Amino acid sequence: MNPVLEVRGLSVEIPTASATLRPVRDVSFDLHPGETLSLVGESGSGKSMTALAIIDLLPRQARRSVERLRFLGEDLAGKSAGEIGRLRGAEIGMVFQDPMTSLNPVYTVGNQLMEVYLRHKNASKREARERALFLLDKVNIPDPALRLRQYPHQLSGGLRQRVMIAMALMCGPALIIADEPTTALDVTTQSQILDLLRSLQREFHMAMILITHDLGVVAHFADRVSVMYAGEIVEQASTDDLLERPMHPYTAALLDCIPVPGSSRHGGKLRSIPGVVPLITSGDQGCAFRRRCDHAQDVCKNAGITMRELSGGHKFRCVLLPRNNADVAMKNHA
Amino acid sequence: MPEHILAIKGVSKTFTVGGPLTGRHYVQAVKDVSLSVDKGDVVGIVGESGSGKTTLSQLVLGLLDPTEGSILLEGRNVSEYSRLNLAKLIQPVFQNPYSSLNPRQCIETIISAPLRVHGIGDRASRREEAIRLMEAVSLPQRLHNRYPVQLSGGQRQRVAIARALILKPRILVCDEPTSALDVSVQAQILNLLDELKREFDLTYLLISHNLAVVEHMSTKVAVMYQGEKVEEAKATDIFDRPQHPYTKLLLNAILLPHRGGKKPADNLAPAPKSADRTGALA
Amino acid sequence: MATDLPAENDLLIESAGQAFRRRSLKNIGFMTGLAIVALVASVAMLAPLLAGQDPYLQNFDQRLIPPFWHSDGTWAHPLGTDKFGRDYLSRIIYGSRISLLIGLFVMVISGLIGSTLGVIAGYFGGKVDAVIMYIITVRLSMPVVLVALAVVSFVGSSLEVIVLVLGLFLWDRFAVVIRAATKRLRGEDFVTAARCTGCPDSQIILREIIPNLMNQLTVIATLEMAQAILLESALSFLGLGVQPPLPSWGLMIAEAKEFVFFDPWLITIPGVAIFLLVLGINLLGDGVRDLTAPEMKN
Repeated sequence: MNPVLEVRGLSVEIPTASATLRPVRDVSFDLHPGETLSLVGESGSGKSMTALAIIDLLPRQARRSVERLRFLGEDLAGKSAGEIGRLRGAEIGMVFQDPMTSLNPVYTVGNQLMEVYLRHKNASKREARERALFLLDKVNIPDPALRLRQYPHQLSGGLRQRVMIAMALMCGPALIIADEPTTALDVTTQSQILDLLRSLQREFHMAMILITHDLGVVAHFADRVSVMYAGEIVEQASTDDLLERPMHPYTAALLDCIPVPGSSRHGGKLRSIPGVVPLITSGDQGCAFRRRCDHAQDVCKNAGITMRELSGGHKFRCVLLPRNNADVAMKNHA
Repeated sequence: MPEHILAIKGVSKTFTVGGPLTGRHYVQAVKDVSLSVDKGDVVGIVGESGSGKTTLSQLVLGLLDPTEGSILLEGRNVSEYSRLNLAKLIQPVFQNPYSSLNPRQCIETIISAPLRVHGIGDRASRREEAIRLMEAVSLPQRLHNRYPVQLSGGQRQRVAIARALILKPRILVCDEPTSALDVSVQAQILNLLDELKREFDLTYLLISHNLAVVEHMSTKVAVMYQGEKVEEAKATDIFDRPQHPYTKLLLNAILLPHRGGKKPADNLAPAPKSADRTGALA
Repeated sequence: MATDLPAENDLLIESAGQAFRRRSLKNIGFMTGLAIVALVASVAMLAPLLAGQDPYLQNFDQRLIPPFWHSDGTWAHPLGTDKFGRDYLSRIIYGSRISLLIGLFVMVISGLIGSTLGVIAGYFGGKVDAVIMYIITVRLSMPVVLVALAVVSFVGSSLEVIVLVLGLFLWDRFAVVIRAATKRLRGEDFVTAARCTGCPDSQIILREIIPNLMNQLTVIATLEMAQAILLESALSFLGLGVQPPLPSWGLMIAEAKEFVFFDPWLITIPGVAIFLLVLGINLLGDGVRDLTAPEMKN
């Protein structure tokens, strides 16, 4: 099956007064139909900016460079701003983090839903309205006809996010990009929304890029994971593989930091990663994680640390040999 | 019997919303909550939005007066303490490291401000004390003349903690202290809070929506839902034997990065859905 | 130390002050406004050195001489003379003092009144806020010119009266904006933290709130200064302001009314002066807002 999205060598640079920042460095991945790929990382990892770079919504000062960027087989990098604008909303649906600010407070829900449809498809208002009702029902919003007439402030956070999802689906996109879709919601709502996204994805056979900092979310909802650190993908694998055998020291350490309720570690020290994610500039070389890594060696300072690949498409960017890594990974999990 | 360092007795708080033109509504943010905290405890308060946990923290800090009930700190009613004396007893650490520091003040000023308010020492001694606390929270000294905008979220939270500790309070009220931080930084801050508790002999009130964080740190946990305390138990018991349906719902909602996604509550019977204002779904 | 940002990264994040200094040099509006205002301020301060002649000296032999670019003009009076034979260049130069003095004094008086009311209303809320909002509404329903007329008819007009009337009038924008900003700041966690340390309200207002208002205060202050200068010109033109023989630019325009068709330079020269000064102040205020607003968002 042909990939929905092919990304090779995507980089973003932002020139500032003191240095050129490189928030995204040489990111590559494929996404297949019906698949959920998660870009996971902490703040400063570049995960959000990667998504913005793909759909051409970068801030004005940012510069993108990419070797290959194909969506549904067509080259995306060469398209004009207008063409990409037409793709956004129609073929690529987006769900952002904060439902409070993503919806325009002065237009009704129905108005905003229908507007997306009318803009991209040659349809009548009646067809748009029917589509809106259909999707509101799909996202499990009770009494959809009433909701169409309501304004965003009349809905709770969870309902608003469902509306956002419905809006992303209005034109039947092949790809959904969800950037921290549940971070602003209550914990009990979070699961419901993620379950909904998953079932809709299966039903409409869409591919999804799920951007999050929450490894728990990843464990439950992603098929494959790309762990990002300081702009680079440091590990990429199927979710099961990643959780069972994290190869990169960052991934292992990250998994270790998360407090697990009911575990024997209650009351003790949490494993933590000292330091902070660094800002990478144009002069920096070598592994970005080396200053915080327990296993750093001299050779980690050198440039060009390439991805190694294990069986099953499990890739990681580290100089440590797989055998040692397995020991390392197991030690971290003990 | 040693008295509780903090005793919340039958506390309710009602807010009046609206006026003569729009119609007066009453919102009961906290309903008849009782909770006691002993010296050296870490009491976790878990709840989602609308649970009243933030209002409760404001009541305990003396920022609001209860409509009903009383709050006793070291045996005396909160309202009986002068502002200054209350400050020496109980201090807050807020959620948002970006809004809890004055953007116009440098780190040293921010940390030493409480000393100035209380007229303790002179500029030089206050500076020394601020530096001492920066060390205690593992902040490098070179940051003392920087401004909050130049610090990371984790560093700012350390500044907030240092500020809270400079008056040597007995109780820290931490309102979602790590919710705005990355997971790796969260672990650092939680470890720091743990160390400081031992070093300074503190008692914590830890408020969070994250049950895993709360359970890790707390001796006792209270679960709040729509203003009421629905369950209270020892931290280990909350997970092994949750009683109230809402607690079970919260546990079910926790997503852990385990292979296959097995959650600790998976072996429990499915919990009934919470019925909130809008119906079955949020 | 293991727990901190690598020291190299410190350089990349500037403080708000550093960012302002760096970007201000590239902002054309700000630099132009600053240049104009600095120029006028220098002229005002160095007036005795720059003006060759006494602006009050009347000389009926030399009446209504046009400026030097005219065929009848002369370098003895580069900008010509008015109907009393007074040197126009000197009058323009000394007039800058009046405009700036009025602008500054009115800005300070109205700024103090408006900011005080705004901070008190925004910080304390409730009944205090309601009362102050009422006062603001009352003030907004009073027309400046008519009030000036009434005052002048009782007290007579002069520079001091004008400054007082305008100062007691133009504080409303200060009050409204500072009130809104104070309300927003009051809800911030760092203010709550200050309250929890036992800090009294007065200290909180002084140390926590006011320093964070300075950006907006500066912007409003420059705008009000410009407005004061314009209003003074208008009032002086109507005879309600500064009295002759003071070389207020507005008064100069009034005195030149009758000559508009035959000696138009008598009107355009002070008109251009007013325009340039007000433009400069506005550009400066806009520039400050542009340079500081993004900091507030970040």
